[in-house]
Parts: sequence; structure tokens; C-alpha cells
Amino acid sequence: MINLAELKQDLYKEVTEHNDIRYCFNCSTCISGCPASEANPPLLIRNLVRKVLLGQEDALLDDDSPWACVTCSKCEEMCPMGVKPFELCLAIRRWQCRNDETRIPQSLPELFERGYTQPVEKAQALRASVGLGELSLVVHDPELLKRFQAMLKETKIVKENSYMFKE
Amino acid sequence: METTEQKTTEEQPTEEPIDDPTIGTVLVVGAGIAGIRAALDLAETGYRVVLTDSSPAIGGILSKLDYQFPSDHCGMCKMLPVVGREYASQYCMRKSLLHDNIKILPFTEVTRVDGQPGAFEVELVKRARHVDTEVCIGTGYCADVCPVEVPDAFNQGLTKRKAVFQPVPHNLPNMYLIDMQACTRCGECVKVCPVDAINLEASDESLTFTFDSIIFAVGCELYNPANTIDLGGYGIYPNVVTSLEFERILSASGGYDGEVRRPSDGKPVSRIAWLQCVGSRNRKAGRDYCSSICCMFALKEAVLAHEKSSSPIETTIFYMDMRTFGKDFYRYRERAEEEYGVKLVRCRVHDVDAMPDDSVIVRYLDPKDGSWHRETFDIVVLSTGQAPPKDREKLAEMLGIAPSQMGFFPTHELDRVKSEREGVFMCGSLTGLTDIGEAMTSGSAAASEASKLMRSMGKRHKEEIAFPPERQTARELPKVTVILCRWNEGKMPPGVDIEKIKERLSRRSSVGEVHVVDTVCRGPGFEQSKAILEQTKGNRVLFGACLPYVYRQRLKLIAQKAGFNPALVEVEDIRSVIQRLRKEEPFDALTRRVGQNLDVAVERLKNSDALHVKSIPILQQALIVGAGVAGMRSALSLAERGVQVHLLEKSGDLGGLVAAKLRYTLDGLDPVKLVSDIKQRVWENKRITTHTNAEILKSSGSLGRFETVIRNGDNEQLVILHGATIIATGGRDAKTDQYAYGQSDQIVTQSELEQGVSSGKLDAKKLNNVVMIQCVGSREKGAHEYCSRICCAAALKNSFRILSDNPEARIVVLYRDMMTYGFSEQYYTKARGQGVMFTNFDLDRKPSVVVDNGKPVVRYFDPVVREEFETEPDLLVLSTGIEADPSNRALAEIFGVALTPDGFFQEADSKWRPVDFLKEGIFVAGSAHSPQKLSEVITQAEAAAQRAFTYLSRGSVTTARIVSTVHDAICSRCQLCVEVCPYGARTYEPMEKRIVVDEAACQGCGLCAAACPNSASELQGLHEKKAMAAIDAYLQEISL
Repeated sequence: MINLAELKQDLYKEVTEHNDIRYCFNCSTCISGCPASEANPPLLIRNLVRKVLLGQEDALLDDDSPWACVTCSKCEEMCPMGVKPFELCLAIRRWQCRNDETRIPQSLPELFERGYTQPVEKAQALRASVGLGELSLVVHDPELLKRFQAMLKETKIVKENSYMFKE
Repeated sequence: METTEQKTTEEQPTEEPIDDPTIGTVLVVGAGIAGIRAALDLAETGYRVVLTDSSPAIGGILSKLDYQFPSDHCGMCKMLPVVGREYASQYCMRKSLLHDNIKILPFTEVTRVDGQPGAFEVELVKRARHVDTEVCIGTGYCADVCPVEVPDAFNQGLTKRKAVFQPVPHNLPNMYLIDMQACTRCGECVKVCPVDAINLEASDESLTFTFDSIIFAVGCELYNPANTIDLGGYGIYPNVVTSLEFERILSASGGYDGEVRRPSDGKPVSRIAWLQCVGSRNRKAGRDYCSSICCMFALKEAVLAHEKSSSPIETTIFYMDMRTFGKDFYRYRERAEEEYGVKLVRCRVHDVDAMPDDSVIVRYLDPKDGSWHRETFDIVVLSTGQAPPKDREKLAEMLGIAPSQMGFFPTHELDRVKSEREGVFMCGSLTGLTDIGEAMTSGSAAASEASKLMRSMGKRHKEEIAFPPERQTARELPKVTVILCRWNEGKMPPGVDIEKIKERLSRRSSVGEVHVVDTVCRGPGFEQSKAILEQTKGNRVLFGACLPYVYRQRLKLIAQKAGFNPALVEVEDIRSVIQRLRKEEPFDALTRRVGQNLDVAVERLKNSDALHVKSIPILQQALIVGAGVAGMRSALSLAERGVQVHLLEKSGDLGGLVAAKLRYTLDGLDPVKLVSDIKQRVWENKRITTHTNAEILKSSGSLGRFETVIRNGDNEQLVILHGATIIATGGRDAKTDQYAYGQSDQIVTQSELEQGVSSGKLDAKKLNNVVMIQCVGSREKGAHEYCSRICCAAALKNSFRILSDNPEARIVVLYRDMMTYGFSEQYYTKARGQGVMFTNFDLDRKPSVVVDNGKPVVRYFDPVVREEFETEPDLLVLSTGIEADPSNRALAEIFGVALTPDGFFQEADSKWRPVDFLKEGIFVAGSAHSPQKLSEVITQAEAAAQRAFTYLSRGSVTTARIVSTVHDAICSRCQLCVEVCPYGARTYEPMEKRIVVDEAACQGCGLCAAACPNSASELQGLHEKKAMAAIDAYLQEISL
């Protein structure tokens, strides 16, 4: 049993500057088309929107599902309310990192090593099997990756967590 | 239909609609059902109407729909006049419509509107058909040789047609036209046409008329899912269809023989899914509206699919809110779920995918248990709703009106049928998609406004034609005078020898004279026919002419003017028989066939008797029961047209529920001012007599003359004589004992909240935490089994009211289905945008309320995050809805009308006659009919007034000739006929101990005659001897 009075009504303002998430009417368009809704645990963006709006701060902080998003933005294409669920997903990740620094080690090295949180480079064989061309990825060009990593090192978040990265 | 207008416009310039400027004339643009309703109402009142449509046929979308809920049949013909029906066609309205006072111009566009009320100058452009319907005999050779095939728009492209085609397969008469965009000008059709009817060079024709008023009823467009990214798959996967396409799949004329089969391979269907809100409820795409009709449309299609399939099928509807907000809609939903097993899943589907065999895959989350499914369907139906009317900018510019509401037409905020331009009215889906019932209501309301306007300008309506005394023929032997038409310029179809036919008829003993004239329907032939009728010694008349559907009325009229009883005049079709036969038999057989048909007609006439109509005098006074907004508005509407009105009110003051309870509305109206204005107008109107504190003791009589006894506030008994009655007794706020109502002063109804904040008793600034529960005691077995339609709007307006004083207030609305239909969807969106939390609940998991220390504690389940929540609101608001007044029961008995199981008044037909009762001369308006919004009440009040005015406008109405009778001597009083009569025209009179027929109500359907076990019930003029003689005459030819 959750008491409404104990929830943070203004949580959505902390998480995102994008006010339109309040228009969500839980239609389920976003989740019924989401490939990550089949992940374990599933990513249910509709539920994340709801948690943000309800102000379920603790539950949201512990929720790992935003990290399963493959950033395909199918949800964003079809959301009838302009809620931008995909952007909210990323916003929740940022908010989690801001509020829980243990989140950072989980994602930052991945980003640093390959430019994405998801191992998209591993999908090349699958893409080829259905006749799709090679993705142009940072990780495939050592020179580009070097420049990308140098760029990352200039950011505040990497500087603050420099212990994670070998020089 | 097409032919009617051509003949009248080309040949009868003196009979143009504007021949007498003192008679009111209205242009109705758009011949869908709303336009037809408006046109018929005005025509029945005696005004002249020009009804145009940009398409070549009338009927609009409804010409494509074979079935409508709740009966799952078609009922369009119920629109036809009930009294005075001799002036209109009396057959299937989806085929066509004819009325003496309506001139129909299909395939005609309005291109210019100038002037002002009373003198609108309108330019119309009649588009060329390229087939001369005067000459065309419908052989169809043209279509046989036409090399062009294009998708047939009538079947939503599911079938193909030629460039020369019949636009609606079931129209009467069904004339060809050429689609010049598809035509290659190859000229093959011109060569093959036996009567030279085709002219590829024909050009459009421009006409200018003057009208007193204009009604626009051009409808809206349906959303096309192929044009956007919405639900990829439509136009790519063959088994993804729109709801209208599915309707054609179900139709016997839809190219699938009425069996439910897959478009991809014609295989029978076992699983069908509907996806709701395709193109609607989409804020991102600028379509933040609900299309209002699609939920019921999908339910109906699902039920029909079950009924039409020979093997068991599974149906699933994916929806967001099942908007069963109309009268009896919720019961239909229950029936669909319980009787047919239609599965409803609350999930908007992201997209669809297809299997190699063209089955369609839908992936969804079942919110009932949070489980995932991936299901395969044979057909996926997209419930595509409305899109703004086509060419709206053009229309808006022409009228000088700026479209708003996302491209739909703006109307007066309260009077929804009034446009911004004086004298121009609007009805039907032009201002937003409506169901049939609302299209009828708004059509009648628009007619009402036009009629009031014309009355204020001193325009008259047409009187009935006075005929010379009839020839006395009862004592004479039957002698038939035959007039045969030689066709246009002697262009009889090849193979028909008119002289041989003449000779053949002359040999019959009952035929006196046979005349052959050129073009009997017009020009010199018409005059010649008139002269023949004046001089003839015959006592019966048979016309052998083309298109009897079109000309029967007109030819009967000239015979009537020559003193013939119309029952002794027949018009026999010698044209469509040719059309029907041409493929099976050679042309030279036609002479014999036509002769045979005329023989049969002679035998029918020989055995006919003169039938007489009754004239029912109409007292030009109305009784209106209930002086709420509906009653007052109806009273004013009639009084402004010269009708004396008695307005009865059981309480001590006028205003009803609106005055007592309504303080503000969702759409920003000021109900307090509205009521005081309308009250003022009622008090000031000298034609309205109000009786407050009145009680109705009894009422008797029938259409034209009712006698009602009342006791007024001074305890005096008064007898009121009236020609028509409108029941507008309203509804009342429902009470409840659910959710701990009454146990805490922090638990109130929506209505109490509204009055509390308005009077200052409740301070919205102190309401930081509010919970609202919807559907309290509604839409539930054992409670009110209907939606009260206004409570979702009430929850929204009260939320806005609280938030305007206290923007930080936390409001949780616990709902089952948000019924923000139409453009009120925007308010639902706006409320969420302002932070109101909407949480869905199901009947099997209702919220619970306990009162702890005088304070409510609410517990509810959130089906999205699947958790239980608890809150202690400052105020718990219950949406209890509107219920019928228990006193309706006594009133229904007094007036001899029916109630619904929920205690509201039962109209004649929820779709086609929404404000009429089965009993003639009594009408219903406002919440006595069903709960509704203020602007809807106003529209319905105008509609009821108009329906009453169609009678009250005249001194008398005539009954039809073909009505049923009872031979008392052989009647066994079993009363089977009373039971089967669908019009309530038969009653058992206990005093006289016999069956009595109300001839004004009888529609001559013949059900009583069929039900009667010993032929005591009979339709006048349709007796057995006549039928047998006709059959004998037909068989005689075959045996030769």
C-alpha cells in the first residue's frame, strides 16, 4: 500500500524539463511496440511515465529498466500525446545518475569503450543476414574512437569519475 | 433520382422553386442523412427545398451501411413522413427519395453565396454526367465495352468499376454516368449505345437561385490511414482494412457476397481485431478529438461478424476508453460481450505486422493481468474516425466563416446548428462526427431555425392542393383509359413496337381508349395527356411510361386534377422491364413483355376501388410538459411560429435542473444567465401560457386533438385542448449510498461540489487533495445500467474550478472509461496537462472508501504500475449521474407512451426518430429522453419543436389511402394484430369490444393483415381478388 501523501508530486520537474509528459493517458502505444519490453526485466516506458508523474521517487531510483532502452525511438514516433517517452527514458537515466552515483560506473565505461551503452556492434551479422548494410560506428574506427574518448575526458562527469579510466 | 431533376430543370422553368416569392425556400447543401432530415422536415411543413449533393447520389455515408445498431438492421425509411406520406416516396430510402416539395440536385456544387437572409443568391454548378438520363434505357452495353477499370469508391475500392458506371448499385432509377477523370475518350461506349445517350462533350451547367435560408450538411471526411505514419500496414497488408471497408465486406452488395472473407485470398475469417482511435485522439498530430461514433461502430461490426459467420469466430477490440455514452449504448456493449463473446482489450496498439500468409500480427499488453500477447488475426479493422470536411477552406471562404476546432466548422456556442453567418445553419457531421440519432436531431433543429427565420420574415408555406370533386364511378363497370408514352422524340428502344402494344390493349374488354402520346411526362405530351384525361369517358387511368418511381406522383396529380381518385390511376413501368430483360432475351421479345406488364396493370385497375383519405383537423396549440431548459426552448420555438403553447411545470418555478444545479459548464457557458434570459423570454411571450405547480390528471385523444386535464397551482381543474404534445420533464441528480456517502461531510457529489464552490460554502483554496470517483451507481448491473454522459465533463470542469483557485491541488480521478467524446476530448487532455491524475478501475476492482474519524480514506489500485494506493483526501467527490424521475411512469401511462427499462421516455426509434414517439403527435426533448449536455438539450428541444411544427403548421393533415381496416363481423378479437403493429396504430377498445385503427398512425405495412388468422384485418385497396386477377393475367401470357 502506497500512501499518496508520501509521494513527491513535483518529481517530474526534477526528471525532465519536458512538461508534455503530463499529457500521457496510459494508452500503451509505447510499450506495445517497444523491443525492450521483451527484455528481462522488461522496459515498460508507460509505467516509467506513470512513476514519474505519481512521484514514486524511490521506486524510480531503483528501476534498472530505463537502461534496457535500445534507443530505437519507435515509442516516440507513435506516441499520440507527444509525451516523448524515449527522451524521458534518457532523462530518467540522467536523473538516476545525478541522484545515485553508483549508477555512473555501470554505464560510463560502456560509453567510453564503444560510444553506446548497448553493444550495437554485435548486431552486424544479424543485419547482414537480412540484407542491411554495416552500421557506421565509432568503435569501428580506432582513430575516431580515440578522438571521441578525448572529447569525453573533457566532460565534467568523466573528470569527476576519472578513477574509472586508465590513462 | 438524377433524372427527376434533369427533367424539371430543363423542361419546367415555370416550376422552378422560386415561382412564388412569398413561399419560403431553403437550400440544403449535402444530401446525407442530416441534410435529408432537414429537407424532409421543411418539406413536410410546406416549405420548398432544393437539396444538393456534390456526389451523383444521395444518402451520404449511410448509403454504404447496411446495418445499424441497436437493431442491426437498416431503418433509414423511418425518416419518411408518417402523416402526409402521399407526398413522398414510400419505398427504401437507400434507393432514393422523392417529395413534392423537395427538388433534388445531385452532382451539384455550390460555388457562390451572396446576399442575406430572405435573399441569398446562390450559384450552383451541375456537373455533367455525359450520359443523357432522358434517353438512356440502361442496357449497360457501354459498361460492357468500356476498357477502363478503376477501384469502385462505393465499395471503398474493394471492387472495380468501369469509367462509365452506376455510382450506387441500389439507386432507383439507376442511371449511368461517366467518370471523366478515368475515361480515355476511346469512344467505344458512344458507338455501342443503341439510343445515342452518350455525349462525351457535355459541359457543366451553372444555375442561380434565390433562397431565404441555407442549411449546410456536407458532413466530414473519414480519416485516411494511408496518408501518415499512423499504424504502418494499411495499404501494404491486404487484410488491414478500415471500418468502412469492413462494412462493405459485410454487405451483400460489397463484392464478398455478404460473407466475412479475407481480402487477400477470399478465405473465411475466424479471428478479427479492431483497433480504435486510428487518426483520432492524437494531440501530436493536431487531432486532439474523439470521433464519437467508432466505439459503437466497432461493437456493431463485431456483433454482425458473429452473426454473419457460419462458423464460430473470435473478435477482439483494442481500445482506450469504450465510449458507450449514448442512450442504451452500454447495454449494447454488455450484449456484445456477454452474448457474442466480443473481447475488449484496453491497449492502443503500436503497429501491426503481417505473416507470409497475410495474417496480421498484433502484439499487446493485457492490462487485466499485465500479461503480454502476440496474436494473429485474419482481418485487422482500423476504426478510422473523422477528418475535417473536404474543401473546408473553400467553403469557409465562400461563407465568410473562419473554420476552427481543428478544421471543423465553428458553431454558435449554445445553438449548435447556428453558424456565424445569419440565416446559414449547419447540421450533421460538418461540425464534428455524429451518430445517426444526433444527425437526425441536428437536421430537425436546423430545419427549425430556418423555419423560424422564414416565419419572422413573413414567408408562407405551401397549402395543400385543392382538387375538383371526384368522378363518381362506384356504379359503373370498369373502363380503363390507357395513355402510352412514345418516349423522348419517338426514340422508343429498338424492338418495342408501340402500335402492336396499342392493338393488344384495345382488345381487352375493360380497356376503353388507348392513346399514344410523345413524352407523357413533359412538354406537349404532358399537355396532351391532361386534355385526354379531361375528355375521356373511362373511369380508370393507366399510364405506360418510363421511370414510374419518378413520375407516378406527377402523373397521378394530373389525373387527380381531372377528377380521378388516385387509387384508380396506375403508372406502369415500360422502361426498366427493358433494362431487366435485355441480357436474357432478344430485343424483339420486348413488345410482348411490355404488353404483358400492361395487361397485368389493367387487371389490377379493373379490380381497384376508389380509396378516400381522411382529413384530420389539427388544433394549432401545443402542450409542453416540463418547464426546464428543454421545455422552455421548445415552447419559445413554437410560439415564435404562431403556435399557442401551454407550458406545464410541476414545481413552483421555471428552469428545471439547470436552474437548480448548474452553475458553470465545461465549455464556458453561463447557465445562470442562460436560464434567466430564457425565462424572461417565456414570461414575455404572449403566446405562452405557463402553469406552475401543475399536475396532469388525465389525457385523451389523438394527433390533432388531445384533451388534457390538469390541476393548476390554484387547485383549479383546467381542460387544455392541444394538437401536439412535447414531453420535457427532465431528469434529476441521482443519489447514492455507495462509497460511504452520507458518512462524512468531506464526501459530496459533483453537483454539491459545484454549488458549494459557487456559493462560497466550499473554499477551493483549501482543497489540496481531492479524489473523484466516476460512474457511481452507473453502468453496472443492478444499478443504473447506462452512462449519464455528463459526469466525466462534470469531473473535468470541477477539476478546472479547483485548480483555478489552487493550482497545486492534487486531484485524482478514478474512472472506468473517460466519456469525453467529440471535441470535449481537448478538456481531458488539458486536465492531464494541468496535473490531474486519471486512474482507471474495473468493476471487479472498485476503489474502497472508509470513514476514519469523520474523514474519508480512499484505497484504489493503479493498473499501470499495478500497486495499491491509499489517500486521505480533503474532499471525496462522487459522480452519481442523472436518473429518470419516478413520476415518468405515471406520465407515460397518461399519455400512452413507453419508457425504457431505466425509466426514461422511449422514443420511436433511437436512430431514425429520436424525438418522436410511436404514438403520433407526441414528442420528447431533453433529459426526459436521456441525460445530455446543455447544448445537446437545446438542439433536441428545437428538433422536437420542429417535429411538432410539421403538424402544427397546418390546419389539417390527411391520412394515407392505403391503411388497414378490420371487418368486425369476422374479427375474433384475438388481438394478434395489436401485438404485431410496429406503429402502435391498433388498440383494443374495451367499451366497444372491437379493434380500432388509428389511421394517422397506420403506415400500411400489412403486418396486421399477415398476422390475422381469419383475414379480418385487411389493407384497403390490396385485397386478394385484385392480386389473383393480376397473377392470372400474367400467367395467361406465359401459357400462350
